[in-house]
Amino acid sequence: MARELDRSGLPVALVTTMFPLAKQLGAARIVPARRITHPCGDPSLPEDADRAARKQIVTAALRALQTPVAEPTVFSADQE
Amino acid sequence: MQLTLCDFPVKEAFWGKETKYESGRLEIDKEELLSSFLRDDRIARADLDLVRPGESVRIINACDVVEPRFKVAGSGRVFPGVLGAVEKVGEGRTHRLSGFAVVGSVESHGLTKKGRSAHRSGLIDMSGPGAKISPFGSTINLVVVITLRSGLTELEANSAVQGAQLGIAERLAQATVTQNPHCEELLELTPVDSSLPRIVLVQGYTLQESAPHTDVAFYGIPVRETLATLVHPNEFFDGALTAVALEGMGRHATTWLWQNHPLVRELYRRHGKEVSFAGCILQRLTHGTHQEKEVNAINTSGVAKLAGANGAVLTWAVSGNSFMDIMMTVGECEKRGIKSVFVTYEHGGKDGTELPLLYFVPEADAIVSVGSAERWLELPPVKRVVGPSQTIRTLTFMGPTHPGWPAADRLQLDGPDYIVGGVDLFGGGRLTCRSY
Repeated sequence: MARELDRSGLPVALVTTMFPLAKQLGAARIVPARRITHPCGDPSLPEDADRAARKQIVTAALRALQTPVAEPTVFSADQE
Repeated sequence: MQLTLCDFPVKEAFWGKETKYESGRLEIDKEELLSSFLRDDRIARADLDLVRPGESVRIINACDVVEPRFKVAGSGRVFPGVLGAVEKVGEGRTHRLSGFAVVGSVESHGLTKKGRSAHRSGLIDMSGPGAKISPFGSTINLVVVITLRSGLTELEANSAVQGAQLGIAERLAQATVTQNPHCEELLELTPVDSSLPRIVLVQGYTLQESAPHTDVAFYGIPVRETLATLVHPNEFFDGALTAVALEGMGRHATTWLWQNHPLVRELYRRHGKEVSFAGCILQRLTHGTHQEKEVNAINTSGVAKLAGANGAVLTWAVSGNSFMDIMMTVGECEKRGIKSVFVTYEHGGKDGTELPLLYFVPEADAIVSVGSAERWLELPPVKRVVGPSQTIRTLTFMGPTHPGWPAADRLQLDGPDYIVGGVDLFGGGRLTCRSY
């Protein structure tokens, strides 16, 4: 779905725990997620740390959307 | 560890005044089984039915399937940790009723109503195209029809059904206790020529983070947080591995399949001749984070290496998440110099043109396909339906409020996944491949 949306001109950042799979399937912009059941956060953390983790992932996704890419590229949330 | 598996084939089964086995004829005392195994506060209604290959019969709400076995010598009971105390099994003598199975047909309204961890069941047809694709279309089946009291927790529901079903299976095989088997097989990992390739079986299993039970239990425990466990193959034959009792998807391994694991059997048959069988590694799959997946893969390949393996056969079941875990393990085994063969079913869509596998690593250069899990399947109408009702309500795509389908009608199924045993998991199926 990410690949086809991207092809139609709508930039997509795919947040997924299984990022090697997303890369293999040709998704353009990939952001590694925390956990399969909790992609955008970590409920095992205290509330503030969970909020910070969520912000990190969403910020990485927004940065990915603004970055032109030529091939499947992984944007790490740790850089935020 | 030495186990003699004694075969008592069942050619005919019928109701009678006592439970006994004689020259392939199994007489079953229905009242004894009902009063000994199905008087449980958690069970609202229960009945038993006998169905035979070739009959125009459809079993609905079908869940686990069990082969009757009884230990006549050696420590422990069959299905240790479920039927009795936890005692090491895999030694001594075990009797089996081959060609016969105990099938659970269960209606359960538990606490989880929807999703992957809700109660799901499948179908078994005793004739027609449905019977051909499942091993349980050609076994004589004793169907344990159970309606559970509503509102039980998933673990309570599982324990009520499993206790009855495994108990009945043990009781039936006990009928052979004083008899001589049709044939017997000595199972022992004897020391063999060290120049033979040393092969380990890596057996993956899944779980759902939201579900209280894993797909398989080891000595009665649904093993959740664990890394690779080395298991002696004889433990499979004595029922140390039991399936969850309230799941009937075709892509789910039944207790019968764990007891008769085709790859374990085949590796044993070739032990000392073509290979040196190093044992089985039970590997939990379906890890939630990428780091867990990496640790899981390197650890399993490390255990294989410690077991002295220079070759591995790997297999798995059920989900996309777990497919990635087992594929990463294939890659790590190859990187450590363990030549690996992966045995898997394919996706490929309805006409075989979609992606056959979800994910691959370049090291996976030897894969055995056991067929597609996604082709359409049409079942003709049947004369008789066996189950808690005459309506199908619990196939995976239906919610609890679905009005259901008349079970005796012609059915167009989305895939063989709706037949218990309908997807070949570990290479025991009858499909073959020819180029033309």
